[in-house]
Order: sequence, then structure tokens, then C-alpha cells
Amino acid sequence: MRNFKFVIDVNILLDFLLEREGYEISSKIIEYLVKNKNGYISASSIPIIYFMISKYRKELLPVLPKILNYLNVWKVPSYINWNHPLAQRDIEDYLIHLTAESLDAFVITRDAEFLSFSDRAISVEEFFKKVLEEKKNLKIPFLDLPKQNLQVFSRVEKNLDDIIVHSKFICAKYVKEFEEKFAEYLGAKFCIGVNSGTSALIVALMAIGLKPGDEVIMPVNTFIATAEAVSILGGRPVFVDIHPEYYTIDVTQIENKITKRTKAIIPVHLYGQCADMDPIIEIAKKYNLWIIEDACQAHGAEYKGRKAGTIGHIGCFSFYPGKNLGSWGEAGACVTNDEELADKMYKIRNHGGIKKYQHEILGGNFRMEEFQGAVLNEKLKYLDEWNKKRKEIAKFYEKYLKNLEIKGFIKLPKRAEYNNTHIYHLYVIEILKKNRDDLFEFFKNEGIEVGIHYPLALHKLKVYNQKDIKFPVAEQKQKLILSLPIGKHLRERDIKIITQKIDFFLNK
Amino acid sequence: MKIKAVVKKNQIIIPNFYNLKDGEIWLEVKFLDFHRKEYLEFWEKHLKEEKEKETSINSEIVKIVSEELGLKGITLKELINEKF
Repeated sequence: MRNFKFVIDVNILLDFLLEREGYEISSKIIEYLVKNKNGYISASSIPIIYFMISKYRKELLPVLPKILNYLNVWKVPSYINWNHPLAQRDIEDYLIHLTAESLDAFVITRDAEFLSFSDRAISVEEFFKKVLEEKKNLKIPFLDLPKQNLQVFSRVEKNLDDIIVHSKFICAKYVKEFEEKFAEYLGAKFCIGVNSGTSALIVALMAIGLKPGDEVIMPVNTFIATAEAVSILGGRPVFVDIHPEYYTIDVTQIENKITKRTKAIIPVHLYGQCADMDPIIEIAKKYNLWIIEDACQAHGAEYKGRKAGTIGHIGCFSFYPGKNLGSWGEAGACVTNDEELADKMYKIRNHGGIKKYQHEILGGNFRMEEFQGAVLNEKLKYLDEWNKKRKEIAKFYEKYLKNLEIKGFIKLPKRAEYNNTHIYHLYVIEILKKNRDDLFEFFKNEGIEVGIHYPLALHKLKVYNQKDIKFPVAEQKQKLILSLPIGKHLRERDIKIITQKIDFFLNK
Repeated sequence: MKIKAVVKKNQIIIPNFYNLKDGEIWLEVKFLDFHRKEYLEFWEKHLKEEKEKETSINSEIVKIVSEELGLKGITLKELINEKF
């Protein structure tokens, strides 16, 4: 219900801009749309708005772009249906209708013809009823990807047009540009764009020469891809329990797991916080092991002033849509400061060679698509801002949940004592009083999306089925952890609602 | 007869389909102009007509919902100065 979007018909906007009859109502509509960031203007309306302002309110011309920006100018798509009844009656209104169609939005209008011939058109009264309905049926999504993606759409659109027009779809200029910018952002020498986070892990493991039977140490509480990449190549994932406060690999238990077959360690920077890298580096040096950082949840997180992914030999990133830096499909990247490894990875991602039909080593098709490069280039510009917003949301949670933690009802996420920047890919709390699954169900009924990351530790998954080995911390945590909504789409009032519901549930 | 010509800087280049010899030829050129101002004035008139015929609003609904949502109505000044 939170996702209603509205396109404003020209006359309603002009009532406001020209302060003419209808101003009072249009000013309320615009107030709502500006505050909720869900108002749009069709690009087709721009010429007439500009013309009317230059004719009747010239003094507004310099600020017109600013005003229109608050209401988001949206494209007119090219899929015109000339037989549409509105197109046959009023082509300008039809173009506004088409804009609304491309946005899955409503058009607010007072034009009777528009209302009769467009299923997108709603009257002013209907608009007010809808926003009230929206308020009463408030739903808080875990993620709001449409909102985030609409914010960058007009910038990305230009690049997508360029890709289609020139039809260069794979590993061309946008991927190259992204590789350069992402490497620069992280402070790494090389970035190799690939087609998913899982591919990034596979490419990295191939680059270090993982052979069947080789062992790779990793935390037991993480997404399957970390272990899967090792298993696919014939290696053996060796699981280690997690730190009870930070949920990352328990570094004190790594050394016990090292054997003659150990080839590498994969610390996972889980939930947006880095694993404690210094002891891992020390162990790796002592036993001559590779370190591949799984930074798929840590875009922009830092460990002692260094960005996640640049501390070990190779860093692997996923740009799955829901990540802090997410593509519009599947994408990933490997980063490294080692030229030899970089050279291998460029080859591995492209069937083992850089030049066409010159296959020097064994590789595969792990190439990044241009569409994803174009999207990521634009979204990278917002990464720090969006991470900052996540940190603000985390502070609001802390503010409103502190009392419940003091009472011993819950446990809030802790920032590691080593110098570490948490970017809160996930905001994970532990439910200590009452059953976590009951709270999960309660939230579901209340229209608030929450998650569990992860419901089963890797050793308990059917694919690995290592039930005889015990990982007490991970096994205990998997019953308690609950991921609360976090992201740019939330405001303090949303956090108040979520935390009041937790309070109500735990105190009832 | 219609012939497609190409405009390049200050020249209109006409293809010589008939291998005409050097010399002069008179052609009548009709410019298909897009009268932007006329069009916009037409549109303004159209919008004015629409405004005159626009549907009435049940102000009671607007009042109730505005109160419920705390909407007072934003002014142009507030919008320009980002005070919302």
C-alpha cells in the first residue's frame, strides 16, 4: 500500500504554479507528493508548463527546474497505442496516461474526459481516499527497491538507450568504467566485473588454483554461495563457528581447522561488518594460505581504515539487487592489488583468454553485462549516501530498542571493538524473550516485512549435512536472530512503528 | 514530384537523379515548419477549455483527509526554500 505513485495532470500543477482557482487543493496534493516523494510529471507536460510560466509568471522561470525536480519528471514511453480511446480524443492526455502506465501510477486529474477514457486517471477525491487508505494500511517493506531504482532511473535510462542503440551488451565501456570507478572507490588496483557474487567467488578460487580435495576455511553462518563456490570446484568447505557478538568467523577457532590440504580462508564480512582481519592475516602468513574476502554484504564497510575486499589477496562482491550496491539483475566483481591474480581473473571470466579465440587457461563465461555496468556506475555515486542513511536508521533502532535490551528481552547488533565501519546491510537483533518465530508471524500479520539471515547454518543444510559436527554459537543464534527492515526507504516514524510493535509483542 | 533533399550547414543538396548538365534550375521549396508558439497557444486554449469544464470537488472529503494527514497546503515559497 505504501507504493502508490501519482502523475499530476497539467492543470492541477498550473493551479498551484499560477496560484489560480484550485490552488488550495493543488497545494495540498503537492505537499503530500513532495513529502512522500511519490509525485511525477510527464515529460510531455514540460513544454506547456514552461510556456505558461514564461507567459504568466516569468519570475518563477529560474526556479522551475527545482520545483519540477521535487515532483520528478518521468519519460513518455514509445509504445504508443494509437487506437486507445484517449489517444483518439486527446493525444496530450494520452501521453500523460502512458507515462503513468510506465510507472504503474495513477494520474490525478479534474478532466472528465481523461477520467472517462483512462483506467489510470483518478479524481482529486479518489486521490485523497487513496492516500488515507495508504496511511491506514501501512506496510513496511524489508526493502524498497522500486523507490531506490526510480531515483536513479533517468540517469541510467540514457546509458541503457546508448547500449541498445549500439548493441554492445557485454564487458564493453560501461563495465570498464565501473571497474575503474569501483576500484578507485575501494582503493584497489584492479577490479574484474563478473556476472554474480557466486561467480566472483568461483573466479577467485580458480585464480588461486584451487584443486579438488583442497580445503577452504569459512564461517558456518553465511549464505550458501560461499561454500558452494568451493564445492563446485571439487574443494571442501571447512566450517568454523561464529563470534557470539559480531556473527563473523570466530578467529580463535581457525587455526584448529588447518590441515595439510588447507588452501585458503574465506572470511565473510557478514551483515555489513568486517571480520577481524588482522588475526586472519597472521594465520594466513604463518601457514602460507590465501585470503579471499567475501565482501558480498559489505560494500563500503571498513576495517581499520581499509575498505572491505581490499585487505586479503582477493575481495569478492555481489551486486544482487537487494545489496547496498545492487544491479538490475545479476552482477559481481573481484578486486585485488595483485597484478598476476588480476591478469588470471580477467582471463578466467572470459573463457580463459583476453583475445577472442585465444584461450590460454581454463576459464568460463563469467562476464558482466553492460546493462549492469551502466546501472552500477550511477548507483555507486549514491553508495556512501545510502550507507549513511542505513547508519542513521540503525541509530534510531538503537534509540527505541535500548530499553528492551536493558530488560534482557532482546540483543542489539554490536559494532566490533576493532576499528570497524558497519554499513548495516542487515540489521539483525536477537529475540531473547518469547519465540522468535512467533514474532516473525506477528510482524507478517502487521504488514511489516522481516527476515532471518540465516535460518540454518551451512552444516545443517541438506547439501552438506554435517549433523555430527557441533557449532554451538551458530546453532543457538539461528533460533534467535531476526533481521529488521533497513534502508533508505525508511524514516524515523517507521522505526517508531516497528519498535513499538516489538515492545508490544514482548511485553504482552 | 517530391524529391528528398539533404540540408548540410547552409546548403540544400538535391540528388541529381536525371543527370542534369551544369547550369541553373529553379525549384520551389516549401518548408515544413513546426509552429511551436502557435501549437503551445493552441494547447493553452485547450487547457483553458478543460479547466472551465473540470469536475467539481467534494471539499468535505479533502478537508477530512487533510486534517487526518496533517496537510495544510504547501506554498510556492515553502517549496522553493525546501521548507516542508
